Amino acid sequence: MATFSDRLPSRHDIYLLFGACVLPVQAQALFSYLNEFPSLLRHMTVWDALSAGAYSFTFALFESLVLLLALALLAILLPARWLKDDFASKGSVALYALLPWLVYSLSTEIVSWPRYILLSAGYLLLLSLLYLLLRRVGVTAGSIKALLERVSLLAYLHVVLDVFSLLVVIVRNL
Amino acid sequence: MSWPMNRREFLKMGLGLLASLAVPWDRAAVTARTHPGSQRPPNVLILVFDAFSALNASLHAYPRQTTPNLAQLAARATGYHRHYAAGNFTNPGTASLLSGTYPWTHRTLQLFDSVAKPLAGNSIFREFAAAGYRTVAYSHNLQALSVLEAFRPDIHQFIPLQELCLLDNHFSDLLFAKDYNVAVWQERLFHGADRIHARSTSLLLRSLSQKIWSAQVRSLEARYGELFPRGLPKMHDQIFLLEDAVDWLASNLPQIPQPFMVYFHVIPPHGPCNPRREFVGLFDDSWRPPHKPRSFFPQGPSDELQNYHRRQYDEYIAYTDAEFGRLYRSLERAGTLDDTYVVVTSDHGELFERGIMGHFTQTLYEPIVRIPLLIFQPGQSKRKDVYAPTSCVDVLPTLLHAAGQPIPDWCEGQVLPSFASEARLEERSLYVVEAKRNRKYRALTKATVAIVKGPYKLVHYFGYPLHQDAYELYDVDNDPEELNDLYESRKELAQPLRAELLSKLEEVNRPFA
Ligand SMILES: [Zn+2]
Repeated sequence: MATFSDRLPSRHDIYLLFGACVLPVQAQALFSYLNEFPSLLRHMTVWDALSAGAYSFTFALFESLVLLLALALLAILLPARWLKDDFASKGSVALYALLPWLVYSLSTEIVSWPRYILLSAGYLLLLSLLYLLLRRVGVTAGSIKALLERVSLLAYLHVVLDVFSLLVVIVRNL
Repeated sequence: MSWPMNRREFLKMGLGLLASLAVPWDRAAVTARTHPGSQRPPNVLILVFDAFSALNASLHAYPRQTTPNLAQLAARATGYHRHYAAGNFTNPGTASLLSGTYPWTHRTLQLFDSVAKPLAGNSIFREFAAAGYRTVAYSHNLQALSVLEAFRPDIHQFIPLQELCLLDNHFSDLLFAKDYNVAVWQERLFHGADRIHARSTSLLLRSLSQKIWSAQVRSLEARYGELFPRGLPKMHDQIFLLEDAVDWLASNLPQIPQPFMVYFHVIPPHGPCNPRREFVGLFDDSWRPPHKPRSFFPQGPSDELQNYHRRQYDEYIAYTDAEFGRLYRSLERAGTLDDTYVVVTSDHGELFERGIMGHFTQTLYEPIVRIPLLIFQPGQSKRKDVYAPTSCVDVLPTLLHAAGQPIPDWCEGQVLPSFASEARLEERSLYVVEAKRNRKYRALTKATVAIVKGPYKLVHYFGYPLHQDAYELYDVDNDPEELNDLYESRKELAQPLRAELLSKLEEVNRPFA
């Protein structure tokens, strides 16, 4: 009988997918924070302004973990072949494919549901076409995984920054 | 008791109070209640109604009857008719009130800013706590919360923001209380520091939390829609009822160990102006304020739009005034006023003129810097009126004086006229400082500063790209609407004020040179 741990994706896949989750979340946090940094300096010491960033990066770490956990939960619940097998490549494709739709859906007040459903259907169609195109040019789970391996170093540099930020936040609130 | 029940009671009570205004006041009953003269020092209650312009109060001769309760209760108070805030928005205004110092000293210059850390001990809370008082504070306003956080070690009872909110989306005060003034900026960045463009540091969580928030707001507004047809009172991500704050004070104040010094900062009449039903449309009249020339820093709205918003603001003042009346009478019934000084004031005013709406501006026109100040002394049965210019930095020394405490030497204010043992009628200079574009710990090089002396107010704009070194001079006594700028025509008046202001600026800038 399959145990719970059998339903979990491989550790290395989780490691790679977490890197993929970190990148967009971190980019948003970093970009917005740097944008505000000069205005923070108007009324804060440099250390306090950097600490405000530490809070943002701690939240980015939390947000990345939420994304990873959501994908892991899906991998556990769905048939293994849908997401659990090749978790890193399938998960990252699902994440990046759905992210624009998620950002749009959450940040927009949906006034007309028929319009929203139509837009969503159009987006799904676009994704399907993109998928077929990628298959045709020979993009495979393996090649996506290889790409993830390459960007994981960059992603985990951000994770180090986030963990350090978390420590800063803890120390400041002791 | 369920909420709808409470709201109906409020409504009934509000209508009852309005009706009671028509009944002659029982003065005998009031004068009979004298200060007991016990050995215990008097209590102090400071009530700050945010963004309350004295120029929109009928108490100060505004044509619309916005403050019938304050006007009536002023019969037992000392009213200051030319009282100035020290800044033109919450942070500097509140910090000056609570520290008795000007913004160039306490350095609370920006939004969500607070006093310079080494000065956190220079506060009304520290002084009263040292005198054996129980200190209590509450603020609906996140900006004032930033100011209060710096004084928190001297506040014995800090009432959480959430306690008097129907709905609240703020988390920094709960999660990061020990580092609030930095954490609040992360929260501001999380929500998108500039709400218009809303560039959040969060990719998805913020939008998700906004979705949940909107659903909660819709459900609340459906529940209270009948009582608050224009929407519920709110600011930032806080939705609240002024009635709850009043109820809290009415029921909790008598329980606080005495002597107490309580600071209560509520949002109304700060916009959005969403009063209770009976105040909506109260001033749908034909009255129009005089047309005024555009300021140096116009924001664009037409006179018509300004007057529309002014009317809503006036309604909100009337609602605030009614709630104050309810609180006063409730405290009176409980006997709390027998030994409590009650101070009614604000942190800054509001503008609906010269192409400016609200108080996010670099200007220091009278409506934005003139605030009410009424001090109800225990046992006072006669009205006193003070027409000399006074400042919010005077409140701290006055209350300490009233409590028989020494006045610290760092305080820049003076004991207010009518409280000092000898009348201080000599002319002195007051200041108002707006420097939200200046760096906190740098000399003031981009700011607007006003000096008020006798009937005159000289305003100096400096360091702005289009206004490097500009001045305005008004005779506020004879030209209260500030329609005639005397700077060019009355050089003999302007020059000494200008010299005094520049010398003061040089003095306060010296530590940052
Ligand atoms: Zn304010």
